[in-house]
Amino acid sequence: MPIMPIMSDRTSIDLLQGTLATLILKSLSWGPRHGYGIARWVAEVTGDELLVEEGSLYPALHRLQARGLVTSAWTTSDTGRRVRAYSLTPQGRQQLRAEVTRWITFSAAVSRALDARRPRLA
Amino acid sequence: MSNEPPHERPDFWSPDLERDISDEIAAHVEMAERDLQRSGFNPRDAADRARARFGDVRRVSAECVAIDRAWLKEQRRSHMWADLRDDIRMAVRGGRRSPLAALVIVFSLALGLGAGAALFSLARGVLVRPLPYGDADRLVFVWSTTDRTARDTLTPGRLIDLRHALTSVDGLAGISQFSANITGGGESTRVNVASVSSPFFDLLRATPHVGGVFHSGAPDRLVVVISHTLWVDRFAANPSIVGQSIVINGVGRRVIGVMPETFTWPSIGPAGVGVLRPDAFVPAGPDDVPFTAAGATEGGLDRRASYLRAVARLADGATLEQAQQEAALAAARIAAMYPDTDAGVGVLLVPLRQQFFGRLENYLRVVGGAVAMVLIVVCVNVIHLLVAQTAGRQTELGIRHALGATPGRIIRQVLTEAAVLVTLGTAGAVLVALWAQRVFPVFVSVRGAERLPSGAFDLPVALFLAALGGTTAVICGAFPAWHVARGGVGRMIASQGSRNVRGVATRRVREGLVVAEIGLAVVALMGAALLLQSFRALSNVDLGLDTTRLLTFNVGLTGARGESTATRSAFFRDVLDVIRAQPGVEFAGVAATLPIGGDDFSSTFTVDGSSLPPAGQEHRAGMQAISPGYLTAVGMRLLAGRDVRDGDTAEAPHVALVNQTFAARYFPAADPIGQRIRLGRSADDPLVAVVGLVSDVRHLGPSEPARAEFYLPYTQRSFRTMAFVVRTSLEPEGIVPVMRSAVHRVDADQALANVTTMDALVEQVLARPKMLSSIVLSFGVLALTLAVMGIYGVMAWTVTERRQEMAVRLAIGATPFAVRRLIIRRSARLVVVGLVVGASAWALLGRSLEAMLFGVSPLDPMVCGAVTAVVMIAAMLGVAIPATRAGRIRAAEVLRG
Repeated sequence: MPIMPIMSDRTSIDLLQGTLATLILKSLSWGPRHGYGIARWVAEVTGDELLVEEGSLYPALHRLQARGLVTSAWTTSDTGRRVRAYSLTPQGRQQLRAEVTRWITFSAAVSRALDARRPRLA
Repeated sequence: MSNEPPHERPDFWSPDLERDISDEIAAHVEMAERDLQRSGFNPRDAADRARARFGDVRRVSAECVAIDRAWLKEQRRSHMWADLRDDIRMAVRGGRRSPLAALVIVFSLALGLGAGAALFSLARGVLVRPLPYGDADRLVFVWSTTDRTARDTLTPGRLIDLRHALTSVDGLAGISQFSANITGGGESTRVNVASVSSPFFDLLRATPHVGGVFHSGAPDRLVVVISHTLWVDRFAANPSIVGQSIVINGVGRRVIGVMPETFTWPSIGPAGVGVLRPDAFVPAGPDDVPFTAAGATEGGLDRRASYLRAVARLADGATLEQAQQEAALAAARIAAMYPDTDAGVGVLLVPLRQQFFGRLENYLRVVGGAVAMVLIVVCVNVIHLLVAQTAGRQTELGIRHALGATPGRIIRQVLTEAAVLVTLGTAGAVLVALWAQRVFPVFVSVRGAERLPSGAFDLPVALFLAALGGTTAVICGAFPAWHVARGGVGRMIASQGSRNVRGVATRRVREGLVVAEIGLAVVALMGAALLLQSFRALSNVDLGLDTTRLLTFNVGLTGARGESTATRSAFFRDVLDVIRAQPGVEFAGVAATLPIGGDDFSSTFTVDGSSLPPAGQEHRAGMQAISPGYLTAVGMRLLAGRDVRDGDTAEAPHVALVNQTFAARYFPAADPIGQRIRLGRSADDPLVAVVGLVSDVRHLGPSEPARAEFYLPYTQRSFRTMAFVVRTSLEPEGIVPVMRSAVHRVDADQALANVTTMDALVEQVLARPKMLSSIVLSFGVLALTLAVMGIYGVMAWTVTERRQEMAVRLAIGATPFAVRRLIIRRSARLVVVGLVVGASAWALLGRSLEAMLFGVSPLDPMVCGAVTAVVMIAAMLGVAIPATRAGRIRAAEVLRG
């Protein structure tokens, strides 16, 4: 992702809200996960660049739940702890598809612009 | 039971948000710690790192709690609406499951609430509407009282005496009303005129719309104040009418003012309020005494002719009691001064509002009580049915509870069901109220019903109905809900069908109510059936007339035309000649008074040759003056002798026709033709020869038997006012302009009045019995509905309550038939007691209806039998449903519980 380095400024995490939401939806696209699992996946795929504090994942998750894009259910972990597992709702899946399309279009446009040569003066 | 999946109940009704979030975060941190330890960190470092990587726990959890809380609130709101929708859907489905019960509930609520709303609107019209006079509560009517009548008119002498004698009233105005012809400024028309004492308008504190009014002491008496109606109808609301002259009964008068539209002065009779309202107010004659149609007369105060109504205003500080006491003293003084005329005559002061609406107010109070009673019974019945239904659905409600519905939720569902029924009932009530409003004024007074203060279905009435409906919904819903709550929803499945100990006492009350309802239904339906029967009999009475296409109107002659028999006869003969020549006219004639709805003229007479009877015991017969052709025109038959003819002039020998009843009563053995009778009781009165015999007519209407009548030629006995009857070959209404021009061709100053058809007159006479019977019938249907509902409700409840017992009976060998018989026997006892109560009540009350009945006795065995049978059948039909259900109880299921 070409623009990530610019965004790595640790104070601009809020700006990534939308991106983070999309990543959460993506992480759930293979099946239900709990918050820690989502955090690990995001850290792995972004190389710890995006998610500075794992806690900031939770408000994003609950907001997605309030919007009806994800739903949650309590299960028991292998250590016997109560854990909340999140999964995509049909609307969430639809939203993810739309976000992916938008991102591809957007990044392609930005890439074309950044790869452009100096315009010749007519 | 619903076949939908049970309502998904999210666990957000009482979730612990904080705990959930902290559990979630704790799990996260723990998993992170474990991973870190696995990758080589020692436990303490792992814990620190995991915490650092997570960030500010407190901030995150606060944020999550806030998000979830907002979400929850939103969810709750949308669920509330979804629940309401579900409840309404359930209620509608419940209604479809027992459509009869639902229909009966809605129908009776509609009738009960509708009657309440109609009554409220009428009461508002009568009791709340302000009268168009300043400080109207200080106005009183002044009547004479005698041994014979409680409210009698005043004589001129008495009016003036009272005006001088009473200090506790501030002004006293006499009023005399009559009809008169107005000429000038267009065609001659007939209007109602009031001659009033000069302080009339000041007394009422009524101000004119245009111009001025007359006051005490004003010298010019040849003035007139006209009503708004007359101003609009005759003078096209032209303000310049003020100052112009119009002619009333031949007297030119200057118009000085027009009253506002709101100003009315009803024609007051001793019993209440008539509906003919004056269109012109003229000042009284000499001595400020109002005059009659005959015009003002000079010379002394009459102490014998009693024709004046009077209104007065209580003086400041005086109470009605003080004024009444003073009036009683004054009456005693007047009696002492004029023992011949005023002895034994008292004075009665009646407050204006009571005079106008007193009878109606009493009436409203009685009807209001009946309506309230009906509403209470309706509510009790609806409660019965709902409780019985709810009790019958304990299993369903129990299952809903087991599936997660809270008690509150179930109670809300029960309330919603009641509310849905009441809402439908209220909607029906609007229709009932509108109908009742149209009907009620007609019921109170047939003629000119539209002039009564009929209520409107306006905002206050709508609010009243809404409040009434709301209260009913709460009352009707609260009891079943309480029943559910008391039963303990959780125990519903286990406890279903268990017998309620307290129920024994309340069942007595319920059964007593059902008995009373059946009795009430019997009484109301008896009344309705008898009134219907008598209306039918009235409609079928042979009036002795052919009323089809028979146009009628009056002409009252004014001026020189009306002076003598010769001028009168000439006028009517000429008009008849013109009318008979018109196309579309088959026959035409005139008579002094119309049969059906006309006046009741009569005269004393003696049969020639018999001795004079003592005073007060003279023979009296109906008197009619007719033109040649009148008999043919109205469809009467000449049975013997001849009709009157133009040759029967005042100078010719005086003749008369008599009717069959007259002939049978006074000449039972002899041929009436050639007999002679003397009109009046003195030997100077003329002898007339009977020259013809005619068929009977029901002159006084279908409910009165034909009276003995004699008919005089209009050329020998004349009246100023005669009624025309015209048999047309076309629609009578279309020929009215032709009639008007015929009259005006002979004399442009004369006017047509009371233009109508004979059919309309007959209909008008029948309108009151018709309305009365339809209102009583609707009340009877309501009462029967309530009774059927009541017995259905009680029996349904009983079956539900005794399920267990019935199941045991069935289990140990009783047949379904035997179980059904148990219920039917119990109901039959209630029905029979109810019928007996109703029949006994009718035996006592029925006599009071006798005066309103025609051609049927209040205890007519056919009618009484039919009504009893109808009530019995209807009541047993109401029992059939619960009885059938009792037979279908599946013993095994019930007992297994």
